[in-house]
Amino acid sequence: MAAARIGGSGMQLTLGPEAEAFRAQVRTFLERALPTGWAGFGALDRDEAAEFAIEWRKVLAEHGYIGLTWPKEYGGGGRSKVDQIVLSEELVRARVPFGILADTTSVKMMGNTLVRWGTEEQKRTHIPRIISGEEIWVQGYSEPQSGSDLASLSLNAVRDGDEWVLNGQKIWTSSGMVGTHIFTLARTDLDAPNNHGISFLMVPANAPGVDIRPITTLTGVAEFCEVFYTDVRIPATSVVGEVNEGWKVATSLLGLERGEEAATNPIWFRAELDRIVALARERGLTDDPVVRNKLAWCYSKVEIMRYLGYRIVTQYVKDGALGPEASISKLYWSEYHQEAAQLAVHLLGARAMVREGRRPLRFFRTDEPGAPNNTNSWIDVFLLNARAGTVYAGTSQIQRNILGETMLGLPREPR
Amino acid sequence: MDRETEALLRSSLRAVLSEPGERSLEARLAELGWDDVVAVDGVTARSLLFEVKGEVLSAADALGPMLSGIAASEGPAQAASATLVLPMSLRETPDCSVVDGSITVDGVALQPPGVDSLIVPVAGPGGVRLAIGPARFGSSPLGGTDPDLGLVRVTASMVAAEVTWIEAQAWEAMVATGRYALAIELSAIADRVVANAVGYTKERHQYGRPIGSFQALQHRLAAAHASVVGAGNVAREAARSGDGWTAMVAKYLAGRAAEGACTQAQQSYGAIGFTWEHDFHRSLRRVYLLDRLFGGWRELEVEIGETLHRTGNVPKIGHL
Repeated sequence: MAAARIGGSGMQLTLGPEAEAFRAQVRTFLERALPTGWAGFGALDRDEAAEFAIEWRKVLAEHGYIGLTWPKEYGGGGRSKVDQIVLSEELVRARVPFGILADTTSVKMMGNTLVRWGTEEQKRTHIPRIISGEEIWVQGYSEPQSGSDLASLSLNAVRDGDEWVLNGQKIWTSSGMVGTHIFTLARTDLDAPNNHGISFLMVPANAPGVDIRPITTLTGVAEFCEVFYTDVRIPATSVVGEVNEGWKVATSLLGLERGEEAATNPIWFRAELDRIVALARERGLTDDPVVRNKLAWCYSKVEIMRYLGYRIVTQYVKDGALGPEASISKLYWSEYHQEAAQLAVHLLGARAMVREGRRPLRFFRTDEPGAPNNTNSWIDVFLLNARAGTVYAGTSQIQRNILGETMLGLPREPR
Repeated sequence: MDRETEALLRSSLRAVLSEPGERSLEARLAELGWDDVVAVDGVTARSLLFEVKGEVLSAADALGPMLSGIAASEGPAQAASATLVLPMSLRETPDCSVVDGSITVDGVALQPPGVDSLIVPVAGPGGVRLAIGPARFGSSPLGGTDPDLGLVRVTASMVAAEVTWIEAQAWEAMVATGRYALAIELSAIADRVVANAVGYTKERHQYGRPIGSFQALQHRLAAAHASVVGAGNVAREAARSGDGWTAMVAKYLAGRAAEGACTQAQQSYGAIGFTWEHDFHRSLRRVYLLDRLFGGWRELEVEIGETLHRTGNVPKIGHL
């Protein structure tokens, strides 16, 4: 297990000799692959960053770092889940991305789903293409009328001979413009209760009847899409897992994803806090007691996030399952981030009226490590990234309901 | 002003501030007989102007002419047509100061400079004085989070020997006016934000119920409403008293309440609140920018605290 021990120099976490040997290997790779004096992905401008991500993804794929835990027979790295956590941690620490933005859904969600639930043919067909980037998978879960209450979804899939026929609408599909394929949840049994009767389906983005339209966000950038399905026909073999058991497939991924997040979030948020401290210095506000107080508050939160991460990873490595701490994680970082982003724009003072420099390289969580301390980065993080964090992937209200009802054992809210 | 007249004026202002087209607000108000209305009850008239401006989210510049008017009443008549440049910060070292006989300006104007004459607050040992006079300047749209407002970034230089100076009380009066006017406007926007979010939570259903029936959202919106009502009361009192301290407290409360109302409303909207298509972002972006004029709430919070500590005196606000 991970040895969490209290010693003279404080708590240390190691993930065992094999994982640490792998860490050394990754570090050597990163030293060789990145230019001397690499300031971080965030230091690039938007065009450079987009280009870099594509090239960097190729380098990662060539070295077996995409699909690290997937079986070798499908082109994966055949390594352990602990190694995946080590890899994610080292990539964030080296200030490089793990792929393009859409790999959050393509590799982390769809790839892992196929490995866990896919048929032999589905694995052989899609996994190598996901690794190479030939296929880019985007997610179609939410619907206009089904957000927090996702299980009420109504995209309709009707069996017609050897095909499914899809009609309905999905929304909030991140990176929808670049996706070649969509994994989606559709209702395949109208008579079954809410989260039964749902199937997990694979749809080519270019299938006739699929209409993908970008949605512009409040910062004026098109980051997600709505997807309309009109008599879209896909082969009957496009179901992942059992028919009507898609809910189980969709919710089975949390383990690995939360384990990786637990290891990487503290590094991201620490890098961001370092930028906020630098901003306070630049603005000459480090003597301001209110600013000092708030910076100390942020520091304590990021440190707690780090130890919370250690606990989650330790538990995951030990038992292969998530402990109760994992449920706290999403609520914790997303609520923290709103305060941190608010502090940053307040430090900018009236300067925050002026938009200068590049905008964030992504619209979720922090701007990338190495990002410049310009106003545009912080304005958008404040208006969009930080605020959206308490909404996507389960709102803070839903997270609190889960904590109250499953961890504290409180009576269920009437629904 | 009696209630009936007030309701009538409110309705006229809604029409004036919602009017499409290029006609200046001053021209539209003149048609309404604004000067006569102000002569009868200036406090109520001005308060209503900024309240309705916030309510209908108008981008018209109502503040600039009022501030220039203060400068003109305290100093040379040319001030009425000169453009006021607000410093980027009111708390830290002012951006404008006299060095080697010249004044370097970097700030924000509420409208594009019309003539080559600026009004600039300049820090000095006796407080902030206003320099009015010719300037060599460059200007560009500020854009920022709310390009509709038409704010302008102005960088300029003025020769100290060529300017007319107005002593500190004029600037203090302008700050107080700016703060109470913005406080009223911010409170009105925040009120609109909460009301729209309440409307949405009544219509949006999840788990077979309106989401507004869940206490998690009810409490957020109720708390936002309480802050907005409190801020609005203090803002109106600041307009009535014309007092600088009350205006500072009002601007602080309104900025904070408006930002908080946006946060609570956005959380209630969920993902739709992050889209350009939904109306909410217009209020959010407006609040963000207006809060930063004449001191953001976080800066004012510190200033209020420091003043209380320094003076050892807790001033009473109106009848509160």
